[in-house]
Amino acid sequence: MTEPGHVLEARGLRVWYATPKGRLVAVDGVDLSVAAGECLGLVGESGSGKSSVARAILGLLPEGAGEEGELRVAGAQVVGMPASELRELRGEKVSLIFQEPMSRLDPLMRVEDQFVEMIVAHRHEVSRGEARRMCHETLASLGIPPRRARQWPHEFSGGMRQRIMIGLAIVLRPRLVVADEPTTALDTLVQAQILEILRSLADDQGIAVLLITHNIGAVAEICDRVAVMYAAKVVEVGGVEQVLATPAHPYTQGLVASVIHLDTEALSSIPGSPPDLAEPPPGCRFHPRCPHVMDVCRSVEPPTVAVGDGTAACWLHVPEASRPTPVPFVGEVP
Amino acid sequence: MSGRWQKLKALWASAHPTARHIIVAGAVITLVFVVLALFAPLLAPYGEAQFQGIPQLQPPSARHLFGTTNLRYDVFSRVIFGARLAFEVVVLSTVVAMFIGVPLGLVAGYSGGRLDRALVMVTDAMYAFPSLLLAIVAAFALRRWVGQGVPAAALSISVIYVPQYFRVVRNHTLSVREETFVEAARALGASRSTTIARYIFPNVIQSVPVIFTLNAADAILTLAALGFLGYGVHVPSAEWGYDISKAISDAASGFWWTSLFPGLAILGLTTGLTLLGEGINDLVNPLLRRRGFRRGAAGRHAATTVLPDVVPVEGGTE
Amino acid sequence: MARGPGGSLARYFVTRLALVVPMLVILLTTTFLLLRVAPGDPVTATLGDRVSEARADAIRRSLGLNRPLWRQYVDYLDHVVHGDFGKAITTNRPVSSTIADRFPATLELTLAALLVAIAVGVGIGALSARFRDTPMDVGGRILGILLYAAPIFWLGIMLQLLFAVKLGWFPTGGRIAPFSEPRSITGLYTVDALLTGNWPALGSALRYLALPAFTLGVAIGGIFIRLVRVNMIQTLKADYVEAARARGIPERQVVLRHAFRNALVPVVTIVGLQFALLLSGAVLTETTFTWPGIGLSLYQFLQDRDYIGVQGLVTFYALFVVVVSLLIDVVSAWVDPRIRY
Repeated sequence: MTEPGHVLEARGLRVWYATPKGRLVAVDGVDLSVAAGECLGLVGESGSGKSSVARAILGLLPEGAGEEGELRVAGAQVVGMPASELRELRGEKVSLIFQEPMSRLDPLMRVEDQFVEMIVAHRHEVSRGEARRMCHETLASLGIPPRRARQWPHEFSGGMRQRIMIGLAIVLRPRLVVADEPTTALDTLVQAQILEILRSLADDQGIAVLLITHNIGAVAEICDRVAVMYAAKVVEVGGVEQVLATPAHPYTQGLVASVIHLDTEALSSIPGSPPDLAEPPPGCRFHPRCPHVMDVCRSVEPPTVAVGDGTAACWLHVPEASRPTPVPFVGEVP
Repeated sequence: MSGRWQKLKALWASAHPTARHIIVAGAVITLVFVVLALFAPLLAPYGEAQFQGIPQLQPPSARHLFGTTNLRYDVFSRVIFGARLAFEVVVLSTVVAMFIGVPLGLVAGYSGGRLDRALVMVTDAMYAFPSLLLAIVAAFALRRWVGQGVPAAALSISVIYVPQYFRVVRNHTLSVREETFVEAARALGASRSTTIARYIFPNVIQSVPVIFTLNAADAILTLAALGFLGYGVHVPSAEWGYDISKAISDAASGFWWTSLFPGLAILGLTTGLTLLGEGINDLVNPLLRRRGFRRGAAGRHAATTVLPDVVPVEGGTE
Repeated sequence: MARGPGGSLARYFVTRLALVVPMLVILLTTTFLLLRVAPGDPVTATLGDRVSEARADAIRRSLGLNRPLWRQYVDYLDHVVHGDFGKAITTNRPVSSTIADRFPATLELTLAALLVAIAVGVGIGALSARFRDTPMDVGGRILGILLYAAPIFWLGIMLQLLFAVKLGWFPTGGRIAPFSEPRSITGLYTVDALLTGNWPALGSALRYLALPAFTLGVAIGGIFIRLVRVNMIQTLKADYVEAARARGIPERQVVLRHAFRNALVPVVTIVGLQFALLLSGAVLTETTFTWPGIGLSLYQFLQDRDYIGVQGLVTFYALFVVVVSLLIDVVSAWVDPRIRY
């Protein structure tokens, strides 16, 4: 299943929302890539813009939102794609798995019918009987007995429903699966099972998996690479071992430390709170909370530089000689 | 109090422009009728039941803007006096319904138990029953007892609204009762009546204006229907519904003005009150209110993950 | 957890049935209390000075009004259970036979009105929600409010003025042209005419039915517009609707099969709640169009101050409402599998 090029390729992706307070840029110049059979973790706090990335990939941004930049899914540019092509893309080439499996299935439709509806919507040539067979096969591969296909969504537990959602996501063999916090609403035990399934999608079917989460543990478990988002920007990207063992960006360091020491999802070891995206701070957006803050961080945005096998956007990794002198205060005219 | 005012101002500012237009339109229309009601004797060119010197069944003219009836009434004057009557009945019926429904709701919601269950069951049954029939039965029984008039009509209508005030206040009381400040008061030894009067009542009473604006339009329609069926306020009071019932035979002969104008008055006032009630409900009820920029169908996520709730969520009705 | 849908539906029906009994008792007791406990003598109230004191006494005795109140209450319930709604004072006819004669007309009117209301309400409400904040939505909302705010009887008179008096398309009142009634099977003229293939009768029945049914239908439809719109706005934002969109289901299908269908579930319950309103409206519509249903009978009893007649009909309304609410619950359970548990 390997081929040159990436299944997901984002360059300079920007997403914004019109709000009463003005334009809110939720994703600000993000670069990302995921190859076939690879699992990339996208980590960040809620509000960091990671869910907006997911929605942009599916072309599911709400009315009143805007986007620009390069965003290719299986080679096709998604930003600016007409609605009819977007519809064909969704489910066929790229699928989204949501956070709350309890509310994502239509309560008035039997599980099987939701599969059939989707399959027939994309493959007009497939008969309903054939579609049912595809549904049963997919469910069985996810550990759900096909006889339960005729049941209603409310007759399944949360973990089972997430399996069904995964089934709907992969039944048409898409190239890319985006999982947006797929385990947050589930029990710990079930979480592990769902993560294992996601990993197997990459390993067994060569699907590119983008796991969006605030849970570093989940990333450590199944991802090959990880991208860390903070305040609408990607601050660090790299192999999982490197980023988690020797994080380069102070924000990643805080993130990893909070997991190791507290084992909670709260990022309690980083003092302060994320900035208001309607009025982000100048310079590096993390500088008000950064323990290593320097003068330059307060006024100039850091460049993205190579660190090990990945990259980080932080002045600490720029040789001192290459750092610009901070903009002097008004009044201190030289 | 200033805090509450601030909150209301914030609500108003955050409301969708459409919601604000609805409230303003409703308020203006209602106000027009309030003015008509308050200054009816000054505004009406003829008396409420004056027939002397008025021609019979004349179409609208400069002397009689809305024409005249079979009984030589001036329709325009009747419409204006009708507004006064409508407000009298509606306000009185609301006061009665509140005085019965609110205390019952407070006690039932606070105490719970068998009394609460019994009252809920009774109000459920009342809800299922056609409200107009309930009012008719009450008016029918009252006529034998106290005759017809504003108090009787108001009492008959209030029968419909007692269950509504009861239910809303009861449900609201139930939720407020569990809040920390009430539990704290109880833990500190506040008596039942003190807790209700000092802590629960001020909170719960906030939902009453919303029910009132929502019910007022309905009450006008009920009064009109009672009048139409001959069980409203006694003749010759200017009552829109009664006047329309007398105009049925006119309509069959093509005399349109005797029925058109009183009906338009009902339509106007109920529309105004409905707009006002709906607008206020939209404003206060978070379910229907869109948050900030949320537009269209798929906006939910962006709204919940990117933006905090700008406006504090107030207790809606039910 | 998983149970055959058929079995649990039956079980649900039985549970609901048990809840219906107290509701009925409450309604009957309220009727009794309002009508009998209020001071004043019903017989003189009805007949006034038209009869001698001895005759009035005889009527009082025959109605059991001389017995203690609790006894009257027990008698009342007992009679209702046996389908006896009393004998009207003014017509000297059992109320039950009036009901038997006239209930089909009311049923025909309300069912036809319900069809109109659903067509108007669901159609306009769903479009309003789908095209939210467009001129279509604003128009739909304004129409909904105006229809709700217009008194039914006035709406009826205006339609009469325009379509019956001015244009002469429809009759102003009545149920069918004289001597053209179809052979009675269900008592609903339109249905009977269809069943017997009596086309002239069908045409006549429809012409008479059109205005009253339309009047009552659009008046109730105004409320449906608002309720369907609000529900549909909710379901259009529902998680499963977004999920369906994310699966590449065509937008039309997303709206119709997922959002619309889910929006209709509460509407079934709402139709049930509005049914009471429909009956209130039917009384007014029947009076306006002299449609010979039980609403018109009620109006006549009210005018005659026939208190046994009023009590009998109101009692029947209570029974009818209870049966319908039971039916509605069963239908909602059938539509929404979640309710059965």
